[in-house]
Amino acid sequence: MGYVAVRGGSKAVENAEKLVEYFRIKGESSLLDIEAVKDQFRLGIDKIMSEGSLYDRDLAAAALKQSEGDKIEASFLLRAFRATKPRAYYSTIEKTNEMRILRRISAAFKDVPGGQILGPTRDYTTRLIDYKLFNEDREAVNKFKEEFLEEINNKSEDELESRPEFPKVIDLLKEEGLLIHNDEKKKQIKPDTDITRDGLDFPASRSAALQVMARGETGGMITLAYSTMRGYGNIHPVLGELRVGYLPLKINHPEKDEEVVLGEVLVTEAEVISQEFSDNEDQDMPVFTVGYGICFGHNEEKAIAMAVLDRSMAADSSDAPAEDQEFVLSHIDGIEAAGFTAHWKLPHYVTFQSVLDRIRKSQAEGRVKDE
Amino acid sequence: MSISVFDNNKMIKYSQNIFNTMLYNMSRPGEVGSIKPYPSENEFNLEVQSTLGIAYTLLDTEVSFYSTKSFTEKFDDYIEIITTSKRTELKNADYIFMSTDDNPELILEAKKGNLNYPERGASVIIRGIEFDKNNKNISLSGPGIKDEIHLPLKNKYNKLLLTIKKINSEYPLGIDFFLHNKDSLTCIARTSDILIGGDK
Amino acid sequence: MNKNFGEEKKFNFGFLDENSKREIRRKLLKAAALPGYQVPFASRELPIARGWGTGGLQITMSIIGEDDIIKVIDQGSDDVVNAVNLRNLIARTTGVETTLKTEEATIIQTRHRIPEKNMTSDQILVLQVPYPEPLRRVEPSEEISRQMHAEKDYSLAWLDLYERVVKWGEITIGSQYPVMVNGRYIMSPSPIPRWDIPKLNNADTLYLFGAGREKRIYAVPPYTDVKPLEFEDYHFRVENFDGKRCLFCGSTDSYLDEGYDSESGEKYYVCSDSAYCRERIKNDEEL
Repeated sequence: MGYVAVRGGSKAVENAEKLVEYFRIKGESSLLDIEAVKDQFRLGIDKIMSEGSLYDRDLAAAALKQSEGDKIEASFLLRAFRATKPRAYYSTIEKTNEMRILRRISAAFKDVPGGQILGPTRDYTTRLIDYKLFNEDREAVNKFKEEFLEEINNKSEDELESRPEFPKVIDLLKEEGLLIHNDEKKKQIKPDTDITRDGLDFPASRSAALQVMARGETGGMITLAYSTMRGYGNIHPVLGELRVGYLPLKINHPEKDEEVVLGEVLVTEAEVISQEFSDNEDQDMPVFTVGYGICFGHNEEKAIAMAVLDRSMAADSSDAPAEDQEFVLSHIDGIEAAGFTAHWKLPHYVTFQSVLDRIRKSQAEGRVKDE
Repeated sequence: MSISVFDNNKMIKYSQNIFNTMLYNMSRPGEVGSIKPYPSENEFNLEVQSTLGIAYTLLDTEVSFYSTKSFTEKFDDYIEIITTSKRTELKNADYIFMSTDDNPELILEAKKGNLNYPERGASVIIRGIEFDKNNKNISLSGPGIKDEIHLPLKNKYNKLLLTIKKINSEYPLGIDFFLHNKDSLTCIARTSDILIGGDK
Repeated sequence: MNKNFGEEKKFNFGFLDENSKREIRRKLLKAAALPGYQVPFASRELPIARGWGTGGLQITMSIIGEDDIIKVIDQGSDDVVNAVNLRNLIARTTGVETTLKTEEATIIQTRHRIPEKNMTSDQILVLQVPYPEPLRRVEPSEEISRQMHAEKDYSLAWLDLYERVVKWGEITIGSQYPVMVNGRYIMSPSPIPRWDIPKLNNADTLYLFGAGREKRIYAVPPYTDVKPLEFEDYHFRVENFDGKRCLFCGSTDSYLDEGYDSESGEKYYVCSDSAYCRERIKNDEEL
């Protein structure tokens, strides 16, 4: 009898862990410095912080290194870490007008007060692999840095001092009366729930929906937003404004009556203006509404997708998947989706046995009937 | 602010112990379990300290509480400090602290949950309970109880029990009860059928 | 960098912070008072992936104390890699004793099986649940299924069973067979085989169910009515192992796993509950 009881589960797990470690370091390359991961995988780190729902670059860098570049695995590490931390405070509500801008553009207008600030973006680059990266030269890099900084510092005092004001494009439209808030609920600015504490009910409040999306997986959200742009839905979005910059993190002092600034967080914020075609006969004007998206770090596609989904979920109909709030919010959490997708690898033989029993019985009875 | 700075190892053990008793007894209404007073120097008597222990084990900033005039302002302040839960009116409170000196009909004002979310019904913690294991006059039956159990309380809580019956008459709506003194605890779940002296 | 990553981070007892435990504890007490009703909870992430037992684990971590003795099984076995993993995590973050013997454990966390041996009132069984909502297969929307439970409107569930009988001559549900609890709520017993369902009814032990990804906790207290849905003329039936016995201990009255010998390719049967099987072998040897 060749059968051996499936003992040695522990040994197998141990060996699997050793193999993972071996695969990570078996190459002859130099071991990655956490600082290097942090600096040179900036956007990867930002994605992980956003989807892990924890703003900590060092931990995100460690997670990215530990997971060998698997973004969802890394976000998972952050989320698990997050679960061990008690909730200390809730930050106060920030007006994003105060953002320390790195990048700010609007597709709705050719020019906007404060200007179109491109900031660090690859949007206009041609996607050609840069072969210089195979043999990056430290000296050349230093030289570039030096020259670039000199260029900036050579600007006149005035140019350096003057930082333009960046009023929100949405506010400009509001002033002109072009933005009509049909829905009272959208005016609400106080969050009414904390999804990490209260869980998620359906229909979810807008606050709950935004919270779920803020930590949602970028790919999943892009897929759903894309579906709505392509025709599975009625959203015709225009990017009113996209901002990337630093927001102050403030709390109310637990004892004194004042605000305390704890630091800054880098966020990406998108406001999408959507033209709604109302069936309402009283409406002889098309109505503009706003979809809002924001996330940790520099992640433009996610913020835009979030804003589009914010709009699509608020739509009157829910024929299209992206318009079905329960469908969207139940399926965009990367840790949940990936975890459950992976769980099929767990043994299911007891349940399978039960199904086999049923089917065999049905078939046996079917045969008896035929005879 | 919602960190409980009071969660050290001793307190972690303490709250796990109390919770263990509460879970065991809410799953088995009518049985009696043991609890210990909140292990801290304060001005409250031992029985109130047991109420504090229950509060400390369950409450935090996500839930609210109400205490009757059987408790002092200082008690409410203390709860707010050790749990960061906030006091509120009876009709909104998730956790209600009472004693056997209070008019039981107060409970009729408390939350019973709704059909979609029956668990939102309040939990009522009543101190001052006197046990008597020889009293066979009160029977409980229902989930958690093998056929029937005698609720081992002194024969002086008829009004309370009738009020509980009344408020739990529309299952799954209802309220769940923890009855205790300084070292003993028993539970009446909303699923429990109460039979007093042979009359239902 | 001012963080010392070389240090082993010290976990809170039971990994979860105390406020997370408080929420779960509050919900567990409500679950015990509402047998079979799924109580929503916030559900924390754990170092184990969603779908791999985080719900069960959160319950275990919220109830466990330093004097508890933990057993973890998956498909009935302690030795399966996932059970080993979970047991290690629990032991690492609590320091409690672990056991492979059903009767020694005070808490048993399980995936998809109830131990063959009767559990006592000093024990708690924590079941891992992937799909807490028994109505999900007939109603994809949470909003609507919640309404159905609220109104005790289970016509769609019954219709599903009826349609299966009409189509296949059988209630063709393998595991996760829906049950009616305390005459009020239809509940999913988790993907345990039908074999295990009778153990839920009028038991000595408390059953706790955790669905981490779906964020639901529910309970079946001891001595509670748990009845599988069935028709007068089409009854609930457990799996049939007639003519089969365990290759190791010879048992003919336990749930058997089917397998194919990795060398000869021959089919064989073995007790799913590894502790039960080991004990039988030991008793045999002692005789």
